[in-house]
Amino acid sequence: MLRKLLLTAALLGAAAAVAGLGTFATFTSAASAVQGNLTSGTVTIQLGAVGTANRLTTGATGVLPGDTIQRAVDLINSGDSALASATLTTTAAPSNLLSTDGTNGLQLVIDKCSVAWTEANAPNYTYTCGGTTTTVLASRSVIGANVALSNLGSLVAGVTDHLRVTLSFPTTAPNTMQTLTTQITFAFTGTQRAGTSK
Amino acid sequence: MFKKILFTVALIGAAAAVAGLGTFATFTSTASAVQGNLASGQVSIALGAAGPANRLTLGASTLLPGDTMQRAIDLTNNAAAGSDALASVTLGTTASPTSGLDTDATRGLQMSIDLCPTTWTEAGTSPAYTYTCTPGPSKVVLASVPVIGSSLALSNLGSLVTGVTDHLRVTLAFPTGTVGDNTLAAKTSALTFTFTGTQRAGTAK
Repeated sequence: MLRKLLLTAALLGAAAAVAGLGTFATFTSAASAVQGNLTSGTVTIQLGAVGTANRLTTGATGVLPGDTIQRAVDLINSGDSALASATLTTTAAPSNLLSTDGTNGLQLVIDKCSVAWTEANAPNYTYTCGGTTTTVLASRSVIGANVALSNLGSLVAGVTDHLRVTLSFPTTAPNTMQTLTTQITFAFTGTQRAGTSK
Repeated sequence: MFKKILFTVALIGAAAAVAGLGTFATFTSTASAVQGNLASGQVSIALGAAGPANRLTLGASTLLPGDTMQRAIDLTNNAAAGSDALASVTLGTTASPTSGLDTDATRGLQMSIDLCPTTWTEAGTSPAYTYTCTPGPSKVVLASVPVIGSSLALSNLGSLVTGVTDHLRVTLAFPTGTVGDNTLAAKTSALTFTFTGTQRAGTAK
């Protein structure tokens, strides 16, 4: 029993000696700088809540050539970063002549109002602008990918654009386009500003 | 049992003390030589004071991919005149708080360091400084690496020699990754940069 204890003591001694040598090994000098927080930004755009700030979710039935469908939607930059651009991509399901016929199918126009659109005639909504109207997207066929949008204020963080999406069914539409149903998905995409010095 | 063993150890210690006393009971002869002073050398590096000589303390906010942060900092070897040159200066970086900005080696911040033979010319508004080296040319001290590293070797430093100051520019770049990859949005990190100077190897003196 005694022998075992002495061995333990010897081992401890050896360990202590090694530690002692280590502390005198090399001279060094260190200098530190602590940087302030580095925080990344967010790029977030969103549409208004379903209701007066987003009527895009409302469909229409019995649409005949010459009809127009107006829907208001708010586009909100809710991130903390400026955008270089916002684009619109539209898709249709199911796909049929209403969306695929670029001439006689649905046509899309987007305007914005400097204040919230004044809504009337629910559920066949129509809108008037109490402020200034500008064109965001000139008339084109309804389906498009990464279509550039103009005159948006919501490229700036915190700003909301009051948009009015108008779909029109051309009077040139042939009878083959009767009783068709489609559903259009509107996807707005905001892309960050270019890199800069920070 | 334990108590008994402690006694034993104490007794051995006492015996050794007695023996020590015993060594002075005998006549001895001593011859002495007094050596000249043995002075240890100094290893000391320092960073510039916060201000134009040290912008590394400045953070940044709302960083987006594609952004770069440039920060100037002076690194000085301020060991006593005549001190031997350092073998190396290395850089270690840590983050607290930490986030994907520093842990994601691919999408996160990338660091590079250059030196200018003269003071960097600073432009821009704090903290968004930019720097140019005129007339230059600048030299690469550290090629681009993920921002967190330990004992990173630094090249082309003049401040291995005492009395010399290197004018460094630390650049942190937030890589432009895949469009639509928002993994690193709204993250926060704070970095600590530690420069360590190490003495030359031992030699005959």
